[in-house]
Amino acid sequence: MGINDELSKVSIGLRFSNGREVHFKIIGMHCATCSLTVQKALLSVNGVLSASVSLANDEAVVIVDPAVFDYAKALKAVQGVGYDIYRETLTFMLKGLEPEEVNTIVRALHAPGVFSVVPNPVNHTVTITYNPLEIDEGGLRAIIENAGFKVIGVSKGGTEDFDVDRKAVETDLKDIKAKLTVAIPLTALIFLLEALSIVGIIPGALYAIASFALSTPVQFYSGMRFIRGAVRAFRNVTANMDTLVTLGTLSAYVFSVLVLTHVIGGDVFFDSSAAIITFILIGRYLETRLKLRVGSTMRELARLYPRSARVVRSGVETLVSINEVKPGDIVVIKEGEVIPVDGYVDGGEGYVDESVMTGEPRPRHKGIGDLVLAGTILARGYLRIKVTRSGEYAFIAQVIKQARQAQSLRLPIQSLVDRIASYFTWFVISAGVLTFMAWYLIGAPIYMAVLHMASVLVIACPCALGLATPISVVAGTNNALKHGILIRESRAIELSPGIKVVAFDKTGTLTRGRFEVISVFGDEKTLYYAAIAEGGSEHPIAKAILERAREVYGEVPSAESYDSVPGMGVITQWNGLTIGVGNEKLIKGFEARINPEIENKANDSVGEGFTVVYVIVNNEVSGAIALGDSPRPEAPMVISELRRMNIIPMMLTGDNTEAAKVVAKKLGIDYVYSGLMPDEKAEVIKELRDKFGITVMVGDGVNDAVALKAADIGIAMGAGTDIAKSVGDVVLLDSDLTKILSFIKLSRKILSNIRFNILYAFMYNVVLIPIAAGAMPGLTVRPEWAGLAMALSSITVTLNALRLRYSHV
Amino acid sequence: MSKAIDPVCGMEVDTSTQYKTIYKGKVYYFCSPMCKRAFEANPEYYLTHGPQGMPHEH
Repeated sequence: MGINDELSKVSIGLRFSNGREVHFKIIGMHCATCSLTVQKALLSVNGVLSASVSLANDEAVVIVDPAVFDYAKALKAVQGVGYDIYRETLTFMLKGLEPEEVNTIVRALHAPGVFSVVPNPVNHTVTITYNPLEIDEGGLRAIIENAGFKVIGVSKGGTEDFDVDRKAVETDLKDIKAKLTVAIPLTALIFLLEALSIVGIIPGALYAIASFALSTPVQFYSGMRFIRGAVRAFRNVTANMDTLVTLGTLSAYVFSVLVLTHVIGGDVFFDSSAAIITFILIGRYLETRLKLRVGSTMRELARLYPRSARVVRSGVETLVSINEVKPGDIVVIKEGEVIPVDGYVDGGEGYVDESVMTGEPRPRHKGIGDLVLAGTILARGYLRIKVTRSGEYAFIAQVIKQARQAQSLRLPIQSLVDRIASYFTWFVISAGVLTFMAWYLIGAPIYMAVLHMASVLVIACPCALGLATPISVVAGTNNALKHGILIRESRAIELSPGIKVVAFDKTGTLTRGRFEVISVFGDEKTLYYAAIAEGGSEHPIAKAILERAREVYGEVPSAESYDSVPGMGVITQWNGLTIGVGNEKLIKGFEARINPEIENKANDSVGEGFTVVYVIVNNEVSGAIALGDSPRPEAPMVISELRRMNIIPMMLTGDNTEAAKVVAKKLGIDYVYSGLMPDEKAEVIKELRDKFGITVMVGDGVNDAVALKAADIGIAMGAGTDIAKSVGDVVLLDSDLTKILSFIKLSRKILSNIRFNILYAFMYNVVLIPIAAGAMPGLTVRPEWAGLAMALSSITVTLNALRLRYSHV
Repeated sequence: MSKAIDPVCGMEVDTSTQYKTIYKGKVYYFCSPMCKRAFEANPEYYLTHGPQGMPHEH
């Protein structure tokens, strides 16, 4: 055996005694520098002991110290250097998720391979983003079920199951209904018998036995929801509302059983335990129904989304599933139908109702070349659409997906409330025990002590407290969506009351982002000739000229020949005339004569920041057309309204100073920063933040990404764009600037709604717990009424949030 | 696609070429940016003398 053979058996490797190997798929690498950059980023994360990144299979192998390594931080580090980690997202629908259990599920899911966990107690779902190389659906389900939750469905967030929340909530409703069909009649019967026994029609002993028989199914069938929840909480070493209801009702029930079996003396009160369960279930039922209403905008959107499309294949219209539609297909839409895909009009024309996206009730005219979006409705006409996106890539699908995430936004105050809520239950249990002791020690009959203890346990409502913030967020974000505003980051809501500066990008944000004919000078047929010459061009200037000419002349004839010369313009023949449209170079090329009056007006227009084209007919400049990107009609109103709110409007643009100043002057903006490169915009934003305070940047979500990220709140104009790729804490779905004002007003409403909810939930508990304990002389609350009060408190919070859902902004 | 003659080098070119210019209201087509530059520097020379072959740029 040679030395080489010996050597080959020796393996050298780094060993980490406490390390665990993690594999990530990295997205976006295309060279060795990329892999080095990603490796460096990963190594900078706390708890990473070693990292190697392979370009060949786009994989990073990381050895981590499980005690300190945080997946979210690793993701942030990789994204921070411009790459991404491949991850998948699943939404699990649970058979119940109370606000106080949110921390439990988050703790349970703090597992290897999990990037983020977003629980939503409003619709009983938990959305998990995970590393599929490490854990899968089965693994996640096992973790959730081991923590004592029941999974009733899983959604991958595709277009098939937009309505998971509804399913989750409806399953819950079905369960509550089944429990109530037993609880209501039996409880009613107990009360009837009680009344009969009070007036002496039936003897007390018979009533005691009958009420025991009737309340037992209520306690152990209808009340099983609460008992199960309490057991689950107990296994996770926490306590929640179910714990309180279970303790309250069982103490009343068990005490009554002991009385019935003559172990202790006193009166039975089986009626209380049955009534508590019935009232709380009724409350829960109403609350769940209301919750469905709170988040309905998103579901209305989802319902609108067609599942099939009429595609033209080999000249024949065939109805196919939306998942089989490919970009480039031609889809036919008839009057009254919902448009199933995003794309451009390829034939026909019509009026499209886009209210679902924009809130604008009037249908918009769509002709050849116009963009139409899935989910909008063809009110009149007939359209053939060339598909650009369909299925889960369509704009509406992205909106729905993001809106669902928005519903689970957490405001900072919520963490505080959740912490309080988790201690609160223990506080109430202690208060219950103290109440019992106090009554017992002052010599009251034991039944009085139990009754007051049960009242205290049942009246306290951690649920309202835990629900206060998320329910307002769901209602608020849904209302925003109804107005075409997609709120994606909670900080946008949180910071909006303190906004000091709103900085606008110019082109496409303050202006329409497309050319329009501003003025025509020279021969009266200048525009007509220009339109004939430009008929064959796709250039934005040509489109603007044609649009205006069609408004003025109706139909415009086509030229007989057409030729475009880069850097000069176009030259065409029509009716024996040679017509050219272009810049000064074209005038030189034609050696055309130009009348000084036209020349002076043209120069003035250029000075005002407009683009000027000359129209030449047979070697003579017949006139000139000034084109500009005109401000959006609503812009002046929005700017003056911002000023009224003591917010400073500013303009940041890459355009030249003259062009920027012209627009700024028209709109009444005093602060103009022009000639900026995208990264310079971000620098300006940082300066503004330091100087003035909370700064908002409004721009195009793709081109202004850097500046939007630098701002405290980035608002992206998102009309029909790829919002999944766009940054921005807020996206305006229809690029209407007035929505900025709506967003600010709505955010303020959401915050005050949350404040009211939290304050109400606290005050309710502070006031009613002492009353239930009997600490207020002359005031007592029987346990069943305590249960009713508790149910009402959650309903109050939900109803208050629902106000937000329908409020006008 | 119609054809035209490059006035500088005499080659036959497609009118869809990106190298074009307008002189005295007429469009001229070229095979390359070099021919276009040569023509624009002295259009009358090529229009009176006819094509001279590929220009040499130094």
